[in-house]
Amino acid sequence: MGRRLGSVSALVAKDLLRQFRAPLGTVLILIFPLVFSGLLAVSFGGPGKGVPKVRLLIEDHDGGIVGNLIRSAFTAEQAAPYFDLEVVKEGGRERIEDGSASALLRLPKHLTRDLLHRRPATLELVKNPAETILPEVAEQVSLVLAEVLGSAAYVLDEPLGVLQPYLDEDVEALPDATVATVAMAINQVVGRAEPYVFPSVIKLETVSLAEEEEGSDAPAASVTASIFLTIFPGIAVFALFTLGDHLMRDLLKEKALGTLRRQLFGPIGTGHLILSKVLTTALIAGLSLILLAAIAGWVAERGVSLPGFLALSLALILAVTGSAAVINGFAADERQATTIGSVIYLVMAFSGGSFISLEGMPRSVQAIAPFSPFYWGTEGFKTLLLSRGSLADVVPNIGVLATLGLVLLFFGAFLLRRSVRQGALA
Amino acid sequence: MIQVENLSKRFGDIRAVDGISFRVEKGEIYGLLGPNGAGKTTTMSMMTGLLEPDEGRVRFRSLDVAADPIAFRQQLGVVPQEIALYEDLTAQENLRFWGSLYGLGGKELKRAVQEVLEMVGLSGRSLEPVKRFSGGMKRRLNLSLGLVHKPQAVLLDEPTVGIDPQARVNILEVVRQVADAGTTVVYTTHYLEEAEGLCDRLGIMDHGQILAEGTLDELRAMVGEEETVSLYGTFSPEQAKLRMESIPGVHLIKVEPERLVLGTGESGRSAIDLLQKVSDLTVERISIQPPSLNGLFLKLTGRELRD
Repeated sequence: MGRRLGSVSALVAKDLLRQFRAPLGTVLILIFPLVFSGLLAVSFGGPGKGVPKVRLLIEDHDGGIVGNLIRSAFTAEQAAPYFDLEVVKEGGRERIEDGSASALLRLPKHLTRDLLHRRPATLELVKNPAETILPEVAEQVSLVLAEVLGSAAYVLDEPLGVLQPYLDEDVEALPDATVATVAMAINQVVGRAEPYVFPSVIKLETVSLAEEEEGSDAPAASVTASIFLTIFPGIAVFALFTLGDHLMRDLLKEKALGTLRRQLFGPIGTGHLILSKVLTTALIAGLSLILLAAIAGWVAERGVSLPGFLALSLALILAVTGSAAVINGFAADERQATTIGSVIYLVMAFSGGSFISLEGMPRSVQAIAPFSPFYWGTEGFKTLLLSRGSLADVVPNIGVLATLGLVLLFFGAFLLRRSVRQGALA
Repeated sequence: MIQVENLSKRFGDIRAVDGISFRVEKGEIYGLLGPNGAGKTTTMSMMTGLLEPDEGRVRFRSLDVAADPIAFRQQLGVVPQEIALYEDLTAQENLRFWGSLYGLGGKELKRAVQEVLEMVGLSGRSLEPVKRFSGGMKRRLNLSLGLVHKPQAVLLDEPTVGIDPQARVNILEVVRQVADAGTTVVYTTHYLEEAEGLCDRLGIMDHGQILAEGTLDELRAMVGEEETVSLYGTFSPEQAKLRMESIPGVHLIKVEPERLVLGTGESGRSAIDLLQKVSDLTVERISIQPPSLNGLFLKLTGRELRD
């Protein structure tokens, strides 16, 4: 028994030394989630100054209440961080063409009057073709506004009817009593309609983060850090699976080198050889996970539930090692393993929400997500890191990953054993 | 002592090894000589217990290899045909790993590594990564990995393929040194000069069978004084066969449309007689092989080792 353990430890030590001597592949895989998440966070978050603003021009040819309402909507407290609004009389299109604005919203003449008379009105939005995301934001917000205004014209028919005579006469100041009557009527209608008219259509994770931070003593994370932490768990899980695959592929490399066959000429069995590769993979994946978690903790400026993190990490490492064993056990050579591994991991990462949050995915993708181990890993670490979850919160994730990992590991060991025997005799 | 008894292995319809038997004593170098594809490497794989034979068995002292392959491999050193090294590691690190795999450790491992490095002439380069080594140096290191744990038996599978003469001499010297220290050595090669110069006994192998076996003198005696003459040209096989049978002291070994292989009775004289008697045949080239192992191989198989 001691002799066999000695052989396995010699094999593991040799593999660790080889990784240390040629670390490029491993280092690149580990750098990937940091660079990817970091770049996205910096691009969209900036150095703690918030997301880049949409430079929106409004050409107000109406000059009435509705025009004011729309302008107010873009300068309101919730929208102000995202919009840099400028009201212009003319020349908006030229500004778009010279690239000094993201979008131009044209409010037509008599917009207010048309709306009160329930006549169709058209808002024109001109987008800057040189930009992609920011004009899209302006378009989406304008669409919501148009919907709300259209609905409001019907819902607020009665109180707005009070205003109509004054609008037709172009009265500049309304009597206080009229304003109070209208305001009360609108308030009542809005209050009744609120659950139906203003459901939370768009949910931003940054909002929930900020809310969580309010109750804690920890300093509020910057927008950059928030974006980084939102993206990082998924990409890190992807990187760990890729790393496991890369490390397990060493078995196929040794097959090609002839060292696999040579080792089997020695006093060791096939099982020892496979065990040593599994242990090396698990060890390096574990150390990498600790490193990535430490970086995430440093960015978040807070700790996570240690029992939850350790248990989830162990389960994830089992899944990482098991998947790598199956892929490399199936493949006949390195090239085949690379192709199979890349395709499987990319599909599982996308369907598991590692790259793009599942909330932004179609329902069909959301339905298949639980079949991907990436989903359980990504969601588990998000729960620990972003929602400050405890061990109890990630028990399902641990259970699924550990079970899947064990099953894959046993199956993978069987395949690898077959592959090693074939490689030894090749 | 290694004893191979009636060893056979088939791969589909191909009989790679066909009931071979031989015995190698302690301190003896036994050479398996044969062309590529003769079944030498398959025999080696079965001898290590890595490949299960269809029939037969291998014994090392009282140990049945099939019954306890790990125990056998613990006492065995194998030098494979391909250079199987970790190129990112140094020579010393390679040796330390292989030594530790066989249970060596501490000072014993350090001493064993140093000794074997000196033996193969690499002690001055031991701390360099193997990827910087020349082909000959890699071959020498490849050999040393099979010797670092001081095995009682060594199997060497064509350990000198593709190297310069100087490195070859070094390797052959090391093998002789190891055998002189009492190690049982099985050495496969398709180089005649190596087999003749190194091996105490030889098995000539082709198509999975041992065709002849013995010491160099015993094998030479099998050839006798007979020369092997190959005539190259364009022949009618039937006509050539009739013609040759009518010449005294000549016997036909192989008949092909473009080559006739003949054995001639007495050295020198009969070849000249033969040439005079076949002057009417369209002979473009003639090759005379004096009595040698190649001649024996030609006599046994009808083809040369390099064919």
